[in-house]
Amino acid sequence: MAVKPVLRFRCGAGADQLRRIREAAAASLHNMGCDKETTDQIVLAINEASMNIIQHAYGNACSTHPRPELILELFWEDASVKVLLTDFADPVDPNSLQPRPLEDVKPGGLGLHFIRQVMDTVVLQHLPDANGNVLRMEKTLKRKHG
Amino acid sequence: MGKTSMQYKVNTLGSYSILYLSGDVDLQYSPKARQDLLALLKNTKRVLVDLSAVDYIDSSGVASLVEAYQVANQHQGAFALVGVSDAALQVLQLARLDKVFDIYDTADQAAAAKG
Repeated sequence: MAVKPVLRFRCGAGADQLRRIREAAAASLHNMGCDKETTDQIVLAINEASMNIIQHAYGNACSTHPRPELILELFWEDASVKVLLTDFADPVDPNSLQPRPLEDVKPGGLGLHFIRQVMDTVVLQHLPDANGNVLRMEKTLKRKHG
Repeated sequence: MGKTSMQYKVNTLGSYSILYLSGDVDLQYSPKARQDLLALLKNTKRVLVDLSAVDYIDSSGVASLVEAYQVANQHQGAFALVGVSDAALQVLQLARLDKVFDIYDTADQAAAAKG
């Protein structure tokens, strides 16, 4: 039987949705006993990944796209938190998800660094029939208690 | 987690302009922060950014600070962060920018140190 998500949150792909996404993720992680540091880190990774979907996957096509949405799902499995972020934009090249060197101090390009630094694994896959993308991120869990 | 949208005000301390950011400096609001920071740097070359009331900052907000820092340096100005909140400091540390920016506890300390 498939594991049910602890959280399934669906919203429009807009910058005005980012706070809602962060709050939903933080509340879910907190309720599951995740410590504050880990919660903050995972929420940052989710925010950055959502930003990338809004800015780059949908980009300028967001206003004309037939389904400008993203879906956030959280799962708890084997003492780790798994995050799925699904969009319905054109397929993104997984090789494009490479962080830039931090020694080069310049604006932009930090989001991927944050995601890679915070999460243990990050994998981008395409939806069937090139109808979108799924970003899978995983991090071993620290709990406040238990 | 921040509960308010980004707000800001500007004050002066001697030759410095101080921009106070607060709330969530994320993709929804960082374009405004960037615009105001760059406009401030056109009028004065000495800018302090107070982050004590920032609840959340993401890479887009950090990018605005980096751009302002670079503009100030290009024009031989002065730029520093003051009163950086724990939430903002965690993100700056992840980007290793806590070693790049001049960071002070207060605006008075920053003005005294940078002259």
